[in-house]
Amino acid sequence: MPQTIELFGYSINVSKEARNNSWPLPDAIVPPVLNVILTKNMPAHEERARRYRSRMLLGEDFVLDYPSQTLWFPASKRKAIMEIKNAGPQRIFDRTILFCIALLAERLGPAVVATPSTRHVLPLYLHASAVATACGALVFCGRSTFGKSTISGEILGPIFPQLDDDQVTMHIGMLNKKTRAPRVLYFGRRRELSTAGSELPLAGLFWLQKSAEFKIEEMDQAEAASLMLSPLVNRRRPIAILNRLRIIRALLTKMPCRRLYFAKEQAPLVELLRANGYA
Amino acid sequence: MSARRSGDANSSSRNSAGAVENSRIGSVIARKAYRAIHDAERSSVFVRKGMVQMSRQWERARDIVWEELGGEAVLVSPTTSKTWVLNHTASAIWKCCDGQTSIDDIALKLAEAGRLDVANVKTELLAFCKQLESQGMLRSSGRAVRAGASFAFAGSYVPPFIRMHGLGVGFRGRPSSRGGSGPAS
Repeated sequence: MPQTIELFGYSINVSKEARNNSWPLPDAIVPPVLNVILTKNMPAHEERARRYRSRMLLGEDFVLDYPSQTLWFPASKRKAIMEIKNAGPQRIFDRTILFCIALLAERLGPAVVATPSTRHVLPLYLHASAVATACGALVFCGRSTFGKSTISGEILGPIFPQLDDDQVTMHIGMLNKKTRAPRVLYFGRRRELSTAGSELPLAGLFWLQKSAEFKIEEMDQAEAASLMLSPLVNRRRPIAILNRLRIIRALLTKMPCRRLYFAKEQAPLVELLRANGYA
Repeated sequence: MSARRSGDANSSSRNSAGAVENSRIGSVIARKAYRAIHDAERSSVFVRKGMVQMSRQWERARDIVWEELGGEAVLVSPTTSKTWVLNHTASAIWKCCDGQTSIDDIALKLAEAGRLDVANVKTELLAFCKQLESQGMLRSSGRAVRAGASFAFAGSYVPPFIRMHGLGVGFRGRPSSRGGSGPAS
């Protein structure tokens, strides 16, 4: 019997794989958002994902079928914990589910993942790191080697708890809806953040730039969106690109992205963030 | 008599041959004229108040995905994984490239907005459109010009500008909830 769990407002059906697993999935399976099947035969599903690349995604430790909104996850890793540097222990299962929901919204459209509690909310994954301050979560975006891990782990980590290191998942309120500010989802359990819960309001969004000086600069929405598109899982699908652009636009409308010039020094960086009201 | 008759016959045959030739030449000329007019129509040669003006239309490439953000436009090519950002003027031009709005109309509106010389604006406009055409983002359109373009340009005119970004690289290995993006293996 499938078990329904609630995760960040999404209703998820979780069930163990039946012995006589049928493929393709019957039409009767219509999950609220995502139908998770815990499988002990992951290689078979990975092989199937290689064969049906147009409709399935072969991920790291998961296989996602877009049309049926079904996720196959290894049963052995159902309660597995991973350590993300300074962000503390986090459940891989929870992260994978939210990641797949964001992918469904991208590929099939936001309406597919809308539930009564998440009707006006869009999920978004960014190549970014994040820390928690008294004002909320600060998200640092950038390409590889731009300093995301450095700024959130080494420089600010001793002062502000790190939320994520390489990928940040957020909930964005839809355009023209009077919804709350964008929120950063946190999958870990840290004593310092126990009162904050699992979602923190987004207090600042930055694109990193290594420099000798410390300053924050305005950034055009269009340029920020074009840089934040990566990494794009469905990079060959026009509708997925369009959906992702629109979700990013909804984010930037509510929280503009700023360019943050920084060097590897803690005190001036913290002072800059506090002076600008980000901490 | 017979000689004259034959002469008459000859002359009449020459006349009929000439008439045929004339009609053939006439039809060739008519065909050439028709083709010239047809080509002119295709390249939007039109006469306004006794003056002949050359104009062109461009239309957006259908495989380019684009969205407007903050008055500028982000363009993405799913086939080449390239992204471009157009400034305010360039994005207004891009939106007008529907294959039916003539460059003349666009240049006129832009020049009016910026209180600039139409000829200079048109030169910049043509250069910009050719730049986009060389990158495969625009292509010449053969459609008829739509009279009275409903193109409105707000704000001050700055020369159209395009910046290119890449889509970067994807995930290092398989997509993962942990991230792990960077140089793909």
